[in-house]
Amino acid sequence: MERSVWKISARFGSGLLCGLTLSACGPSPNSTIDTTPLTGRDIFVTRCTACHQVDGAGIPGNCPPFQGSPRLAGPSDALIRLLLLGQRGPLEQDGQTYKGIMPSWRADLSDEQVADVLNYILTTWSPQARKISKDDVAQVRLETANSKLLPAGQ
Amino acid sequence: MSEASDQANRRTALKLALALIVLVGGAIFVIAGMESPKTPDAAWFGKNLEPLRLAYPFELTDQNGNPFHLADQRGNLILLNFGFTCCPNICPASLANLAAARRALPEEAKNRVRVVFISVDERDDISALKKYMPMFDEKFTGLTGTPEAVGNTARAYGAFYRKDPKGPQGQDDYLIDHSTSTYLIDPDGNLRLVYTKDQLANPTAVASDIRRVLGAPNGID
Repeated sequence: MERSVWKISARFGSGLLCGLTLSACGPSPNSTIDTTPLTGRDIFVTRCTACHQVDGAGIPGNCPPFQGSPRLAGPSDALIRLLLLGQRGPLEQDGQTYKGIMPSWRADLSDEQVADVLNYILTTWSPQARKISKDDVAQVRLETANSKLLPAGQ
Repeated sequence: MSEASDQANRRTALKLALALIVLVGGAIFVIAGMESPKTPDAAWFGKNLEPLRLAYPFELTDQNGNPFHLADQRGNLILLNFGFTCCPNICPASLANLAAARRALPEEAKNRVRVVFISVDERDDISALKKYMPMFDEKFTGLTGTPEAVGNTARAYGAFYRKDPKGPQGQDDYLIDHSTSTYLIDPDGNLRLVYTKDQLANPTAVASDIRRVLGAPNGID
């Protein structure tokens, strides 16, 4: 008799504990922890949009727009160099002068991340341009190992 | 075994089960509460520096050669950071993010926000700052001063800087290793919030804190 009482309680209790433990410790649909790897777009949104804007329109007088940018359509080595070393204005594009600063991302982004963010930008605003591999970035990183960061704008 | 005693057993089992529910539920409630305290501070994006204290009242010189006294800025909200104009990455990225946060504000709030950049580099004279600050925002203020005045100010805010031992070691060719926090000083002159450089990459959230400090509507998104 006593035994059956404890058996019922124990079964109910352990079932309850399991259910509660699972619901408390399992991944919650509202969890803010994001374990997915960063994509080129993620890097663009967090690192680039303060100046370039989400739509790539840039800021008049500060940062040129991506649409129609000769640098995006130009050689990929120059583009990688720009990301790794940064650039200090002024910069001319379509008769406009831009005086902002492009930070150097050399210390912050890996070769793969540089390739990912550049490929996102190229795919979105210059789809004809050749895509960039992490080996391309590694090569330019090596070539520019002793280069001055933030060279003056061309 | 009688029917009455069976019923009594079921009742006892039910009571035990209910007691267990209350016990486990209570424990989970307490643990959940410990993990995410429901305090008003949780709503701030920046790190809340309460209990509030007055920000160190520095007196330096701005990029136009005019004296800049923090004490004269009551009524304005100050976003203060330390850096140097030759900084290749952290300073330009942080200032660009602060410019984006300021652009995200309604006009009235925007006019009460002053971004103040104190150079910790002796190479940065007034003319260097005058050229540098508009690269981010025409309204930004760059400050310089004697090494002692800058050093005292940095120490008062817990900022750190030194010549980067890993960079070039020339007389005029060097980098500066420096802390990267940005401090929010409220219109009453209190040191209110502090942001890491990574937090600045979310200008919308920073702007939300600013609106809240200024008491503007929709301060909390």
